[in-house]
Amino acid sequence: MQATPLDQPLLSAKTLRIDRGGRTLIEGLTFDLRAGEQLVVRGPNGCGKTSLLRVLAGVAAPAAGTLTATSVGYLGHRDGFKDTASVACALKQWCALARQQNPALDEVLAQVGLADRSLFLVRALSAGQRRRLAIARLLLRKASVWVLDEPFNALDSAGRALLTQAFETHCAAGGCIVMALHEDIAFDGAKTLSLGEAAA
Amino acid sequence: MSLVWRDIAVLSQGGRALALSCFFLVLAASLFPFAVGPDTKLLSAIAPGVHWLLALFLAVLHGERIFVEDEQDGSLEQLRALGFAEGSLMFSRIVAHWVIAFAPQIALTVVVDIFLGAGLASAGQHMLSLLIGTPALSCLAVLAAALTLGARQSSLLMIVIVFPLMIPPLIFGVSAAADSGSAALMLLGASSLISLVIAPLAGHFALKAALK
Amino acid sequence: MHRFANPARFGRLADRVSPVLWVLFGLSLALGLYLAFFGSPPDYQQGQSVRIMYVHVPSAMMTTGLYGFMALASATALIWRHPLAHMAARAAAPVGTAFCLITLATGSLWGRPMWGTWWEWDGRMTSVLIQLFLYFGYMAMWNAFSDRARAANAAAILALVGVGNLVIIRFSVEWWNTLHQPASILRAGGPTIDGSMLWPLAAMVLAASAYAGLMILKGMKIELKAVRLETLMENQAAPTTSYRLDLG
Repeated sequence: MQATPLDQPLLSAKTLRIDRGGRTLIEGLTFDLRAGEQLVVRGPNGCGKTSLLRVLAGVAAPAAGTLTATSVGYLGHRDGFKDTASVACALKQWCALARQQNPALDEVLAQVGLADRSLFLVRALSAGQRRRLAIARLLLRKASVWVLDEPFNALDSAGRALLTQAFETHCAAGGCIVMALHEDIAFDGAKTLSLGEAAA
Repeated sequence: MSLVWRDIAVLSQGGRALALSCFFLVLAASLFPFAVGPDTKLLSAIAPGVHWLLALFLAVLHGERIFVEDEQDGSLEQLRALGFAEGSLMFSRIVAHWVIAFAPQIALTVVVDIFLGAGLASAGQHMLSLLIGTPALSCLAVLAAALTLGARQSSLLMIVIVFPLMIPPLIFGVSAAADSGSAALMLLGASSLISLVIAPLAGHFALKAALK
Repeated sequence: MHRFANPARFGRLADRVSPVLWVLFGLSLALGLYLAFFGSPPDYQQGQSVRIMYVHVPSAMMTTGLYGFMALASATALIWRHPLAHMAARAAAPVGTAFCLITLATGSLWGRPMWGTWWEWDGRMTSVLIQLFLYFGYMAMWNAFSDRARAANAAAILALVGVGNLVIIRFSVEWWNTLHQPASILRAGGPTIDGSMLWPLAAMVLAASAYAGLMILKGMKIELKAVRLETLMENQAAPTTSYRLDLG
């Protein structure tokens, strides 16, 4: 993670407009995220959570406005792992693309509880285990901004606990997090962006 | 560079895609004697055209799936989040497409020529024309794949849009394969160079729209 | 240019221009047909069949011209994001395709008595045929996506790549053709056209242009209605999201 001065925002959105299917979902969204900050995006289905996160992660371009972000780690609904690769190979490949030299694979796999699965094929993993694998990639990526789309999906309680732990470590180390969450998942101490509600 | 290796590794599907290219070439080339008769004079006369038609089909055969799987499983999203620009995604896939579709074809030129009764002397000329001209086909195929990503009946659509665009390289390629020392080879090289500029540029806009 | 971006204003403009175009179309067509059949002499070489030219040549001009128009409109749409430009390009495509088919059909009919063959792989005919394929590809692109914005974008890029390619195709097909066979005698030098044939031709070109303009305006109006309908149906399902940012 590169050292960023504390006052410098890690992620800065200015008058973003998000469109989907030729229709404007969100307009004029402006906010900054600094080291240690967390922003939770909430709202009902179809309000544009995923569209917004894809823009924040740099996957899609905003319809208008500007976005500046330092290195981004993105966790989407789909994880981008190939069924036929082994767990270790899949991680290695993504680390190579992210230019991570000598990634601590075993360490991180142990951290997400997949230590004994490193030679398994990805298709032999359950949905929850695949999610853990995606979290392992996120940890290896060492990005300062985490953009997470419903990160708790498919995880069991142990998985949720380790993810919450990872959030704390990440923020303490000077990172920041934007994540979309369902209404029924409580998350304390974070800024919130509620989509689908009239401005207060 | 790591992106190019990754794309070659993923798209070659552990070498199966390369094997598909080889089998397709040998099988399709062996159909021509059945189609036009086993007259080696006629077969060797149409050999340049056969090579280039096979190249067009190979381009489309591998072009169809060049983005689809990575788009569906989320790899394309991850690559964008890692900061790879649309243009470099295009470029690395053009290279990967060429390696998978046309490296085997260039290697097997001699085999196809033997099937068609064309001499080994002409095989060199055929190989040269394929070497210089097939990058243009890869560019156009990958561009068409980017444009049709997520479309209904995308493989049919891809054929409809890509074959007309491939006519100039086809014309120049067949001429260059048939006749050494003509202007065709230069024109063929020029169309490859132009395609290498246009395809990443147009693909940039196409992918941007596809990833909305 | 964005003055006409407002659909209502465009509608009013179209309603004002259309009658003028209809009158222009009717007059020039009547004049052109009269001159073509009665006011111009048969060709000393081709006889009566030269009159096919009065349909063939304007159609060929429209085929190329409309493709150029499509590319220009697409560029306008991509660069300046003019909302009506995509629609103009889309509306031009079927008109261009129709003229392209007429060009090919009349060319074929003309070729039979003149060259003794329905089809000749000569440079011009071949490139018109390829242009037909490009038109088909463009229209297929529009119809292949459920998302209108995505379809518009892909089709516009294709139109622009296609127009660059068209230049190369024209050149390469001519080059290929002269490589394979000597140029047709009729084409060599191109006999200079007589004034008595120029006037009916000019009238027919005017008629074809007016007709193309009319059809584009009509197509755009239909397209605008379709967009309005879609927007209505979408907004009913999901109104634009409002949001509240609570920065703690």
